[in-house]
Amino acid sequence: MTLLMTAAILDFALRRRRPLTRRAFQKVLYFAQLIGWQSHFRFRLGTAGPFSSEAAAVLESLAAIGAVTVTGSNLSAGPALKEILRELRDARLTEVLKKLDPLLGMSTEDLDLLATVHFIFESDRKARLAPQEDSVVAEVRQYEGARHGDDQIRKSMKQLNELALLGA
Amino acid sequence: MKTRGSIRDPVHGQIDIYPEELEVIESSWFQRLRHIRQLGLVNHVYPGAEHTRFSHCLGVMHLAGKAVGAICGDIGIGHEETEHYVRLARLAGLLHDIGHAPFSHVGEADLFPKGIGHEDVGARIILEELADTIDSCFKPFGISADEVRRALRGLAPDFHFVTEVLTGATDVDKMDYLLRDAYFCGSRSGEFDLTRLLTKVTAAWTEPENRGLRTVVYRYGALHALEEFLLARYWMFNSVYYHSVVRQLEILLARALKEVLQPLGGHYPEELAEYLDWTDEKAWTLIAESKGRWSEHLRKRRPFFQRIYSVAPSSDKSAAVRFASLRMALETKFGDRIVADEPRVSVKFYSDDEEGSRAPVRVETHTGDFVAIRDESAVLKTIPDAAIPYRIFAEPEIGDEAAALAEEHLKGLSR
Repeated sequence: MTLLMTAAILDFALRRRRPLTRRAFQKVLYFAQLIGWQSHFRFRLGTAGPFSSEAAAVLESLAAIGAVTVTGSNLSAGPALKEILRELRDARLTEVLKKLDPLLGMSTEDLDLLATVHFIFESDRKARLAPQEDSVVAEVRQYEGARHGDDQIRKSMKQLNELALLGA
Repeated sequence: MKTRGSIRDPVHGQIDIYPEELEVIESSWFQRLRHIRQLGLVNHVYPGAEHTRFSHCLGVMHLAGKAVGAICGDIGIGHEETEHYVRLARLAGLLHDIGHAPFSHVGEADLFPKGIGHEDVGARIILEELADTIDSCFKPFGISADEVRRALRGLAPDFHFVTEVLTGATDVDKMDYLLRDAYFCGSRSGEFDLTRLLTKVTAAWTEPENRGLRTVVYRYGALHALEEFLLARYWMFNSVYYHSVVRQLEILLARALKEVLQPLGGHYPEELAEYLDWTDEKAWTLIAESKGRWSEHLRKRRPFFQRIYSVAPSSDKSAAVRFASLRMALETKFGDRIVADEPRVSVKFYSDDEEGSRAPVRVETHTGDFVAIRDESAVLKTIPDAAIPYRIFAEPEIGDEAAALAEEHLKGLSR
């Protein structure tokens, strides 16, 4: 169901935000997996936060069948998207999309940061390090260099907490 | 103080071992790797592939020290600091796969608790089980267990090149596994000029995609060795790692493992004391005793998942269209009873900066600039973008029906 589900999430994201870049869509898929979609995508820290080569490959497949049009780094609905989604019947999807909604208004840079903060927090948590805000801020700064200030990183942590995404 | 020892290795000849490293190697956690095969079930197709994560990790340790030593020498890092980085890289290389589950990568996306990977388990083993040994034995070198973890996870900007040597696009993990896997499989496909790469590796500050970090690059003259390395990876993925029968067996094994893990909730135990026992032998024993459907299929080696579609990698866009269209049709009809191999783009490491993947493989030009190899190599431009075969498998019970649907669908596409 990977292609269909990815197409459905893409369709939802395109209706909520323009432009949608490939980089932002990587983060949308990262959070989709986190909040309940069981995909096989494996995310690692890339140059702009979590990145999955499997997700990139699926996006290429969707482009190949005309479900999405890729123009430079921007994504738009392809001619076949509507037809493809006509076949989709999956009750789990509604819940995933509902939870994704608050994230889709964010800029690509804010999504990058949110996903990066989450990834690093979770890495620490999974290593049983009981991550604290200060330690996560320090590690994000270590990974990101001077791309974002401490305040922005703390704000992202707060957002993740409000969305109940830390430790999810 | 104990003197340095050495181990004979079929790939690298002789691997020197420092006494502090021996303390780690002798731990039950590292010894466990003797019982985790490097290539899952590849030995069912290439009978020589009986090697384990144990020898691979020794090889990665060996190469990590050599690569970091070469980089430090080239960029003018002092003796004391070089020793620190070399010993750190060796230790991190030794431990980079310490968290692997039975049969290495088979089914790992589905067999760990949600969101956990072998790297996360490895981090815990380093911090919870090996920290005392590391912190005491490596104190003279200023190395802590947490520094090892940070080096492996890319959370160490001061020595980011060490992370890249261990987990970057041209890391020593790949260098070792290509050579080692080719050797044990009896294949020539994984060979490349290792000496040339280790002679020409260095580090430089590259902007902007690598966040201003000093990253691994290659000196002028490494181009053809890099081409060999990337081609070796391409060939090994096609002929060994994604061999059709290997994939069919691995799909069965992943489902059989899921069955025998059901009493534990369908995944490997979170408690490290229990996880320590999970080796290939333990998993095989449970599969041998299991009454589960997939375990039985695996024991009998029949019936396999049916191969519905298999096309060699191709640069032709129509191949991608046919694969994606067929996959969509089959997934729509049969859902999760269909398994498709993703034609992952990362195999070539033609990094796409706009997507935020990895920093590209960079090589020096004759003018002294470091450029992405994708812009410099005429040879690599000829490799297909989808660097593993386009493959779709179906559960045996729906195999004939799926094959008929596939035939019909592909006929429709040809019209």
